[in-house]
Amino acid sequence: MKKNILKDKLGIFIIILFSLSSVTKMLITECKIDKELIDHDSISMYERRFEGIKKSLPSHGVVGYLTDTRSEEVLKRADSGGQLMLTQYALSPVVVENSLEHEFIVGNFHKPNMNITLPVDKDIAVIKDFRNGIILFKNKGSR
Amino acid sequence: MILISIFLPIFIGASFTQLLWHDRLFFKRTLFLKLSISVGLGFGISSCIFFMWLVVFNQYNNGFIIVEVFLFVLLAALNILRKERNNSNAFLKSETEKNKDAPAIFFYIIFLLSFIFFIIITIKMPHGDWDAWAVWNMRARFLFRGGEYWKDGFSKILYWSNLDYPLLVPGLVARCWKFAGNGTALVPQAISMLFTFSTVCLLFSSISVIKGRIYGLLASTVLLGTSFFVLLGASQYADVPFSFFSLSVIALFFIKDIFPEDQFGLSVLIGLMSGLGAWTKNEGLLFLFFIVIARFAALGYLKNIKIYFKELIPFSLGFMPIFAIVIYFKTHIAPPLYLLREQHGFFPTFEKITSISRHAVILKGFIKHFTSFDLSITSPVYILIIFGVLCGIKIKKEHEINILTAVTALCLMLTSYYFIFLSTSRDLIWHMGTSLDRLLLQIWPAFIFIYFMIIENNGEPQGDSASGNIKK
Repeated sequence: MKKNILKDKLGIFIIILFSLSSVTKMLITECKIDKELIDHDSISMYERRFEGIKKSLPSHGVVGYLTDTRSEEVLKRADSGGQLMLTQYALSPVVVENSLEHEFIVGNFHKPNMNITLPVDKDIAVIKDFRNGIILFKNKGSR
Repeated sequence: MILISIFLPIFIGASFTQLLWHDRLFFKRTLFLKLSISVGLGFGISSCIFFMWLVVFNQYNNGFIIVEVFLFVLLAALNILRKERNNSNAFLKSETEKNKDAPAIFFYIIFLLSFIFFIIITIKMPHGDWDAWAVWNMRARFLFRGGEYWKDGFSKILYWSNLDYPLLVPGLVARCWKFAGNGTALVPQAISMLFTFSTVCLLFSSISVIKGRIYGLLASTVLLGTSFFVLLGASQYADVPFSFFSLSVIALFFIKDIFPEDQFGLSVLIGLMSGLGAWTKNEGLLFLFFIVIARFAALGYLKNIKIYFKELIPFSLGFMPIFAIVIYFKTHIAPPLYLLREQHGFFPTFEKITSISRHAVILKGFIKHFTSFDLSITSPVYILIIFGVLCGIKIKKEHEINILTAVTALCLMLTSYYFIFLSTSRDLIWHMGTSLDRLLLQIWPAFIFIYFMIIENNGEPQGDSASGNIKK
């Protein structure tokens, strides 16, 4: 019985040691909190860019999407940070479609001072430039 | 208002749990377990009420609050009016709570450190990690901000957002936002925190009641030591709420045997928890199905099939209402399951499932993930193996049926995950890399629970195991 109690105590010690060291390891890895990070994480920052355009969009329905990222990369996590998804998250409950076939089009641009080339076959005009890479367009040709 | 919006469901859950599991004799002993169950149960019930209200009234009023308050008053009144009864089939050993022994002290320290870790991650990722904002919280925003157009959140345009995922978490988040009147990120953060730590408390309290406090402490210490579990909770993923429900179903089967006079109520509770698991994640539907099969196999093999059918009635009473909601959601609102939608016919699928290299990759992935859980100092599986070797393994006769039920259900879950990967139309390595660790974590608390049920009780290792024993 004494042998069993010793074994049990060793087992308990191993479990405690494992958990304590695992949690401590994670805390040491993650403990660096920059005070400036509070409310300035990447998602909150990204979302803040859309605050202006939100007021100009309809309260529901589908809007188009125009960006300077190649269309096949819009949904990819690594290349574009899932920018369409983040835009959708910021603008919900408005549905954002990666298309120009809608009356309102949300422009989401990341390169400063770029010349935006709009498709020549569509009657798209700038309604408002929010000066942070976000531009609201109107497709006059869409119903 | 945020606090009220979060605590009202917990009160509903507590009243419901007490109504279904009415023992008064051991009220103090089982209080912590009941409270742990109440969190998930209440959250699940509130989410279902909110969804039904959305479907029926399309957000024209805030009637769901009245329904919830009425439900709470009704359940509380039923509890008060219910006659006292003695639970004659069980007795409690003399209880000497020792909160100052070494495992308890270390447990509190580890719990506190894990809590701090959770807070740090939450500060760094207030909107949660990828799936949290791209799926769960985004859907909640549609339900909350969408008004009468809340179904826009299931538009096929948003195909990338796994539109077929059930709505326990987004429904609950949207309900709290609606209740509080604003869409603050504090709500999903608080819900994730409560689910994460109530899973730890559920593991601790259930094992404490069944086997003794020391084992409850050790089991929950192992869970907290699995840093990935706390990280996933803080990331606001629905895998942790699902792990809560899978653990509660397995644990309640054992609890049911200890309280024979509450068989009916506890079977209803097991059914409810199984149904809520299905309302949390698609894997929950599989779990519900496998629990029904596993119970049939275990009772049929080890006891009598008549007992199974006797148990099936209250179990069905519990899960059927939730299951009906899930079916309504799947057939009327959500598009088809993406894994089925993306299948490209019989022959390509057949080719995949007969590919030896795919089998090898999946098996390797399962072993690698199960023996790593990347973030911990070493794999908790190794720690459990060492502990098992030191303490020994023994399956008690009275636990045989429940252990067979649980092991069968979990093995069927693992098998189904295996076949999902085998037949996936997505890139296999990518698919496994983004989901296997989460899938394994969904059943990890239930696995730890079963493990501690079969660990041999070598006397009283810390002089405290008796404190939790309630024996027939």
